[in-house]
Amino acid sequence: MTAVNLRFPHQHLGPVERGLRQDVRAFLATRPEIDGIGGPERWNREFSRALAAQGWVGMTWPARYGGRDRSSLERHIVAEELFAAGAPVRAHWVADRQSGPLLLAFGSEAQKQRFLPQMARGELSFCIGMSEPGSGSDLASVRTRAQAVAGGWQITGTKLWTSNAHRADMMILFARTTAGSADADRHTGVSQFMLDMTAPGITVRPILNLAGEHDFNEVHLEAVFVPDAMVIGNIGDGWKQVTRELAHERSSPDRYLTGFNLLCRFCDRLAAGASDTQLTALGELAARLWAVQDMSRSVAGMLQQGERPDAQAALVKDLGATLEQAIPEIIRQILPLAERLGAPDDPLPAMLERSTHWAPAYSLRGGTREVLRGIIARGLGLR
Amino acid sequence: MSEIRDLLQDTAARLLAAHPARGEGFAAPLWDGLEAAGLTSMTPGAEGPDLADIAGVIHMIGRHAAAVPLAETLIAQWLATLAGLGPLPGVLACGPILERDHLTLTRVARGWRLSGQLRAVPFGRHCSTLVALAHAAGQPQLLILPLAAATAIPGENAAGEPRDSWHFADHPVADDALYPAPQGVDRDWILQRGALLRSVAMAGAIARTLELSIRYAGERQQFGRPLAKFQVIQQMLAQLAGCAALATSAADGAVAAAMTGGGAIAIAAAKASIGAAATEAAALAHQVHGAMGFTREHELHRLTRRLWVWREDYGAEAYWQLRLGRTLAERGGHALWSTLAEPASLRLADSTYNGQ
Repeated sequence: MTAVNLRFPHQHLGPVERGLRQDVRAFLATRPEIDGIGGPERWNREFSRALAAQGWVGMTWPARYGGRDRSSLERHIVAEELFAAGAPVRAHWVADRQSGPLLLAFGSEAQKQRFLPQMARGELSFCIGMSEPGSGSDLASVRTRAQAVAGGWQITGTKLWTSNAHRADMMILFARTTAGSADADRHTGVSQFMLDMTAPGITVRPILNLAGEHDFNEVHLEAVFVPDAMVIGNIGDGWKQVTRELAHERSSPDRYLTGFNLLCRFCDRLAAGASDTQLTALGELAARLWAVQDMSRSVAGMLQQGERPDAQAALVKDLGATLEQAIPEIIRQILPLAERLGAPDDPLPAMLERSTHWAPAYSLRGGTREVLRGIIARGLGLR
Repeated sequence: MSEIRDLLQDTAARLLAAHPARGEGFAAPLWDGLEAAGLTSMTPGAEGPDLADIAGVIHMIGRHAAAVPLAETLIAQWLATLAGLGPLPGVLACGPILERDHLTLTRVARGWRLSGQLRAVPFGRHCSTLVALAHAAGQPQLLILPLAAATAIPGENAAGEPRDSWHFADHPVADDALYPAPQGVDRDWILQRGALLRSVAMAGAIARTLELSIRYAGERQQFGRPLAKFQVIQQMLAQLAGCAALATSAADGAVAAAMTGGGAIAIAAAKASIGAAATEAAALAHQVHGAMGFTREHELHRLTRRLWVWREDYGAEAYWQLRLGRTLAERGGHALWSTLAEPASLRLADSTYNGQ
């Protein structure tokens, strides 16, 4: 029988990666934002600029576009350290992870020269306009419509669940460029555009999430004009491009380390005295995390080799989300309420509450668990 | 992949194909083949196979659910090599592993007398030699004991594998059976090597449950189509693939860590997380296989029954979770990430937990 197991070659770290890790730690140790409480979802342009000044934003991009020609593996190490420390990376993260690589792969030379250097300086932030009121997991069913007009495109429609639309400079928009949505051209009649969020006709309305926080938005586009120069890649190639883009969105450390500070503070609490049951719970979560971080690093290594580990990336995201959901639940069970109520300034109870509130999102955003498992099934040859 | 690894894998594959596992108990013809091919005397060293090469063979043994104590024999060979001895013939036992199992030597006029117990030793009745740590006047010694004169009390685990015990009471031991314990080798060294190689075998067995499940889901038709065409089955197989990938990746990671340092943290994390993956994988594989997989006729039980009992060998999940949790708590939250990301050379905290 042919081997059907998905490969995860062990990724060894050399002196370059180890040295880089120490450099990032030394930098983070100087930053006041790293308080052991706040998480990576924080938006902080000043931090993003300072990180970029170190050469750690857009670091895998070519130097001629403001990048540093570093490897995917080196970028992965930087990302590990940022997320493990809860660094406020949100203002540059989408550009660094997703929009920059998208432009590098499909953007025009003019787009690359104009936008990538700004992104690599941590000065240009992005949001992603994909989902719509009627299009969630079924992304190909989008109805936002781009119509050809003189010199460009006129776009009308509504995007939903758009994280950071209220503070990002630009949006990568996924829209339909042929009429209708018959099954035949579901995947061919869509295209990607770059939008300036200050353009006339854009209305951003906040949608508070379950945790009471303003992260995502509804974005209404009313006859927004986008010049031809802001089309990404080719008209009609949107599906192919977005599939590639989504592979970059998966499996990186933000998919298993967003709540890592909570685990650290739980660890601190146990350091002050703990039962064997509590220590065992910490060990269980840590063992799973150790396994997942190794797999995630393996995916980074495969990307570095030019492979397309789509199924592996989906698999790591699924395992990471499941682990991130288990962390607050196990801590809740193992640290009784009476023990949770420590000193008034103890951050642990609020962190636990917040993590519990965010947990459902981990297996929804960036591809639901069911969509991911479909991708894995395809990787196994079942589809 | 190195040349030597290719050679070892080809040899093991040929032998495993020539001697398919049947029935319960010791697979003697397979063992004879492995021994003749030199696979039962591999030790990691500068020349010959490294630990990853050896682990590759153990992964295959697990994948075939082969009823041979290759891991135990290779750990015994490793101990003997560290003591400066050449390869030993036959099936070997190593220890002690379990809490409350100890071996003590007392000086007599000619030679020594051995007292103590070793319980639940894999395939003990088939072993010709025991390689074990024993204490003589408080000093650790490596004991190389021929077992012809020792009677094993037979037992078996829930997968039908022999798990035999010896209770020694003033058992005579010759002078030349004792060697100074190798530097750095203690009970925990043996336990960790056992946990490492058993983790690797479990990863192999989990990988096989995925292969069988995918094959069965492709062949079995219900409601007019193969099971594999149902989304719910695809989701289960994707989940099972996650268990298999995690297990093999974790086993590889622990082997790599063990090759560059002690690897204790990685071994603890691997045995704990692979044990949990085994639980989930066995449940999913059985669910996919339906009643067919719940028979003695179908080969699935050969894998899942072993996975269930291998979880207990060399420390169950909770044992390693506790030691890992204690180590991490002692180091504090600020060191949590660095400990997990680069765990090569740290020592593991001891356990008072008696759950091996």
